[in-house]
Amino acid sequence: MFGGYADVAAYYHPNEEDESIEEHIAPDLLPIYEKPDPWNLRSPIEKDFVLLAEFSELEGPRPVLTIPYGTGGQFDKNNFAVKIMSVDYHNISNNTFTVSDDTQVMILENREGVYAYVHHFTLYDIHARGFVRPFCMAYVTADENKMLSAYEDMLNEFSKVSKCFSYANKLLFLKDIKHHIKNLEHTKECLQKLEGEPPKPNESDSTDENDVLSELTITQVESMIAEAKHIEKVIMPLLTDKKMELKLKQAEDRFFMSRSMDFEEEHEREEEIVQEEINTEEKKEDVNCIKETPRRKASVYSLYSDYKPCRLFDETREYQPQILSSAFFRKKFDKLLRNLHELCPWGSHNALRRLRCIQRYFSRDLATLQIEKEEGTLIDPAAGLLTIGRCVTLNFMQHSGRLADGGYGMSLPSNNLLRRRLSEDTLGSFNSSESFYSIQDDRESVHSGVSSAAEVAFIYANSSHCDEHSPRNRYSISEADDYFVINYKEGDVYEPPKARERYLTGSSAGTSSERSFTTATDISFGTDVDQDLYTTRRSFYDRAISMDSNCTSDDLISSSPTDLESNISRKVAVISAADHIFSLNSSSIGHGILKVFQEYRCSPEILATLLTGRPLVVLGGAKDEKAVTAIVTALWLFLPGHTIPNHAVVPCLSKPKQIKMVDLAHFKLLGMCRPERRTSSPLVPSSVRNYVSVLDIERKMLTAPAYKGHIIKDIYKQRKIFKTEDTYIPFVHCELLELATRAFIYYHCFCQKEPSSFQDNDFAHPLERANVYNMKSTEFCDTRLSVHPGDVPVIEYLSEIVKMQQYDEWARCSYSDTLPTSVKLDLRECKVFKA
Amino acid sequence: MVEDAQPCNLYREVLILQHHTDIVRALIKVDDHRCVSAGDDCTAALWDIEDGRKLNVFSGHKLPINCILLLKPEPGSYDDILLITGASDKHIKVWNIETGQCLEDITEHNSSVKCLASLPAFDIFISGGEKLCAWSRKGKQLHQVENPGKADIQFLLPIKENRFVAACEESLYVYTVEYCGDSCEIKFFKHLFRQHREAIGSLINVPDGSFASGSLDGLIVLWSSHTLSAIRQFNQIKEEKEFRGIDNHYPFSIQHMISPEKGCIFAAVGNSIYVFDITKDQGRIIAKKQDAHMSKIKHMDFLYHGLYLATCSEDGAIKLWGRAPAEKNDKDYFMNPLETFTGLSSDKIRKLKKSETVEPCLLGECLGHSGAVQLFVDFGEEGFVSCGGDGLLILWKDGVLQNLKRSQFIGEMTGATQSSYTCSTLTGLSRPIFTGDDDQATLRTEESPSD
Repeated sequence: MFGGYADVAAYYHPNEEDESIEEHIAPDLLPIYEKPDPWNLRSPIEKDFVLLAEFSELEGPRPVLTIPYGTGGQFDKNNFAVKIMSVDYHNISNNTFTVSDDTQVMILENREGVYAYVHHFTLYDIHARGFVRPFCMAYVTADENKMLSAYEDMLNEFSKVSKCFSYANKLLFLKDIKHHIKNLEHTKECLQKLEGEPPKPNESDSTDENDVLSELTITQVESMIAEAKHIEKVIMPLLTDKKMELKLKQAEDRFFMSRSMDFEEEHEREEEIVQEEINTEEKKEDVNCIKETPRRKASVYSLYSDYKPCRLFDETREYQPQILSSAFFRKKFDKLLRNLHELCPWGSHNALRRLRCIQRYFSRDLATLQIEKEEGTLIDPAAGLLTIGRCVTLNFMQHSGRLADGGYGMSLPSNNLLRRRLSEDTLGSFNSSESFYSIQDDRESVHSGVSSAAEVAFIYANSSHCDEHSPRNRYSISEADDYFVINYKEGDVYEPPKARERYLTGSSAGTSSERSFTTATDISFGTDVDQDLYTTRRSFYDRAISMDSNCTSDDLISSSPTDLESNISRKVAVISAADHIFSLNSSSIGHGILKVFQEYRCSPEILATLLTGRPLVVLGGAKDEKAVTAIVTALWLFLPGHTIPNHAVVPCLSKPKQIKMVDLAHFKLLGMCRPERRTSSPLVPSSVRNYVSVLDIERKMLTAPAYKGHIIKDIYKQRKIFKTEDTYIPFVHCELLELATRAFIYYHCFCQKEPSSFQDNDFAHPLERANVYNMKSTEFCDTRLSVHPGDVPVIEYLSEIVKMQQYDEWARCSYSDTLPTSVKLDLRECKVFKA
Repeated sequence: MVEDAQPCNLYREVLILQHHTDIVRALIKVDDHRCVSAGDDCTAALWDIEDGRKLNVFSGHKLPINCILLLKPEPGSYDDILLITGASDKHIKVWNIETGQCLEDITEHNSSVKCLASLPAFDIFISGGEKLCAWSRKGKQLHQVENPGKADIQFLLPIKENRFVAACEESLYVYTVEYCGDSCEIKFFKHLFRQHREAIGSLINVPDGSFASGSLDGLIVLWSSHTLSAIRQFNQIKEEKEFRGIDNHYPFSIQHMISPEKGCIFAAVGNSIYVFDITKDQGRIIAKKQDAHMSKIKHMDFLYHGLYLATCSEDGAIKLWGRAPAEKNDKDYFMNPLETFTGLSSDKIRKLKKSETVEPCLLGECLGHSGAVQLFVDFGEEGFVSCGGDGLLILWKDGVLQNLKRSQFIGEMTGATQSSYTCSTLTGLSRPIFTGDDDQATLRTEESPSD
């Protein structure tokens, strides 16, 4: 749109002919003028978005893309790009090459109601004027307060994105410069040769080469060499981030490896995926490149099709120096420069994904942001965290940090906001694997205990699209969908080997043991709750199968279940209650809880089952999958605990296997559909029947211990006051927090003090000890917490969760392998309730 | 309070030890906190039963392991404990239990290895199958004798320092071991007069210098270890039709016996538990629980220092038996297993009339295995380990004690509890009621609390 500086300048001069133009246009084509309502000024921005803009040598400032696609429709992005790009850009004037730092600006346009955080950064391009390509990212919002309060966080996060872009870019630039130096030296040699020989005008192949050589002098070339060497000297010391390099290299390797895949099938699939990616990429972003010339458009996102990605790390091939091309010294800046993907090979994807995450994170309500920021401190130390319904409720060890001091590898509070929120994989703290995850990396971290089991992260409850654009992850999610289809719709027999193979494509797995690891890594890519559901389901299946099929394939059984566990356990997704309330929708945890309450009079018993750690099986008929899943989703709101191997939730198994004792260690809430053909073995066999509660939605029956306490009944009764779930769920959160605080006191004042009173050998009989302990516990709850005896198991269980987490954490750090999970056997008498 | 279905059952927490992929047939206690399991998946594993960690895996056999044996080092030496495994693949392997290393692979047995026994006096072990072999600790074959019986030897029981009994179908053969220097000889000594009409299912030592054999037809014979003559017979079912039962089910078959103290034998008779008074000629039944399980009881033993008599069965359940829950202020503590079990003092037991039998009370039911429970091993306060046909080992723990331990542990970690005692103090927090030795139930309990 802008031809150059002149146009920009013209743009800023008030156009005197404006009115006359309007006169020429038919009135029906003109926008209907509405007098702005001064009390109801609406910002042109409906939803926050991220704008990436560059200063194009040909066009001047221009928006490159917006995240997400389609936002800011009312908003003049060109105008805005001009504005933000003209704020800065000065570095070019320097004579010697320097690397400029990023600059940040906050733009507050009160009049228009547009507020933006603008982050300028510079990429380097050997073909560009002064070797620089100015870019900037802007977070645009209509909420001034958000801008002011989140400035620091934005700065942090955008700096990381900028680092992603610029590191890859510098690597490329350095490579280019090195080649350039070789070219120059080669040219110099040629020139020197030419000087010795007399010119041969007769052999006039007036090639470009000869042209170049005739126009250049040795001194010119020498000064160019000096300049290039200076640049090399400046850039070299900046490239010290080995981790980042490794990651980029892995991405590159993976890409080329998948390209050179021997199997045709694999190749085809890869192509397919790539094709798909291109489609989505184009759909989502490319269209955004406003007023692209067709040629430009073709070249911008050609990364996958005709563009041969350069190899950043290929040291094997020696570079063949060429005589300098004329374009270089003639300095005609009329050539199309490389696009963002080409400028930052392998880094741009990562950076864009981060941008998407940033957008998703900051686009939420300011209150949510702030509450979440406050609650973010509750996550550490992770072992002390109590969650109910995956929502952060309370941290029992907050501010004490003693366990962390004890050197048991507790993760210390991290300042990385998004990492907390989006799990290490999504946003990729630099030591993690993110989309370029490596098998080895994961393994290492398991053993080093750096990010051990209790790595907790805030996560979107219902953003099943999290990371949908990243190549690998997208793929795995699509596979996940596939899997769901298999189970839900067609009711195929589950075929682990097939699923396994699918997961393997594109990964660098070689041997079978590695393979199972790959799978595990894929699965543990728990970037959102849905994914977790899936994860759990899968592992549940794996386990069920491993128990049933009597070890037919070694690969599957010998290594995978434990690997799965150890891997899954590291990715934990929790959300803040604020976020939960903010983003309530039909797939949120707790959705439909009022309906369940309405349907089941025995709801207090159901909730008590969940809150006392007794596994609950929701059993439906063959065609009740939807209903079962809905009930599981609703009841999940009351399920304490979040560590996946111990507190897994399985929405619905349509081809269920008999529950085994082993499963009790892992799931707490399980949906099941009876197979259509009755089998001789019951789904809940006698070996586990005593320890689980069963809600049979077909027969409207609940088998569970009777509940005699008050707290849960109150929560249940209060539902009548709240007409909608939007209001009832926040109330539930409050009540659960109240419950958690009681457990907190119980934990600190009873659990931690009580063992000392059992020190003396007063108890010759173990039964007596058990009775005294139970009595004391009940008494404490009654007198100190005014908790009814019927509610004591709830309080005990909540504090037990934290104790277990701490113990597991310690055990995991002490022994590198995982310990078997202990299963609490609830021997309370069950009754049958009619719903 | 919420109703508890099993108020007397302390085992409220389990750890599931996953390793085996087939039936686990053998389980043996190494020391107070470790056990070894072995089974049809041809491997054996060493477990820490405090936290359920798998410490070592011993794999190398090609066919199911039938029997395992531990060779403790000689007192005073610093050698590691050795594990001997005998398998259907005709191999006997000797392992270092600490390192998991296979020290010896013995192939000279030449037939499926059915049973193993150690004779600590000579520091040798013997293996039984098609024939009998004696081996040195290093795995050197010392001697080999043919088995007079037609079938494989199923049980080996050392009865005196240099004497052991081998059970083969319904016959019992006594052998003596002569050991001098490097040579060792097994000599056939006596074929015990045929008493059993069906295969022997259990062969045990009884504390007062005798041993007992029980067979499929229900007969239990008490033999003197010295004279090798039958002292008494119990539970004789005369009619063949009767002991065979319907479809050769053998409803009275003896699967397992224990003799925790002088004068009594606890026997698993079919689905029922019988406690015999072996001091009297006719073998009075002190206690009896008819049809304690749905199917045959495979193993029985005392748990938790005698607090429970546990039985496990093919029906997948482990049941805990004992006397009915004590009344309030009933602070009687009993001196030996039988008293604890029946809730009667020895005197009262002695005075029981012949027709009076005590019926034990079901104190708890440990359900968890999805197949037959093969056997279990008691670790006192640390709980017990059971193994079964589903390939699982389940470690049953005292829920309250675990809870206390965790609390204390975390208290120490976080510094909230300012006490200096360690977790182990808690472990030994309750005084054992008694410990049953092979010879005699040793009394360890102090006086019961005065109030």
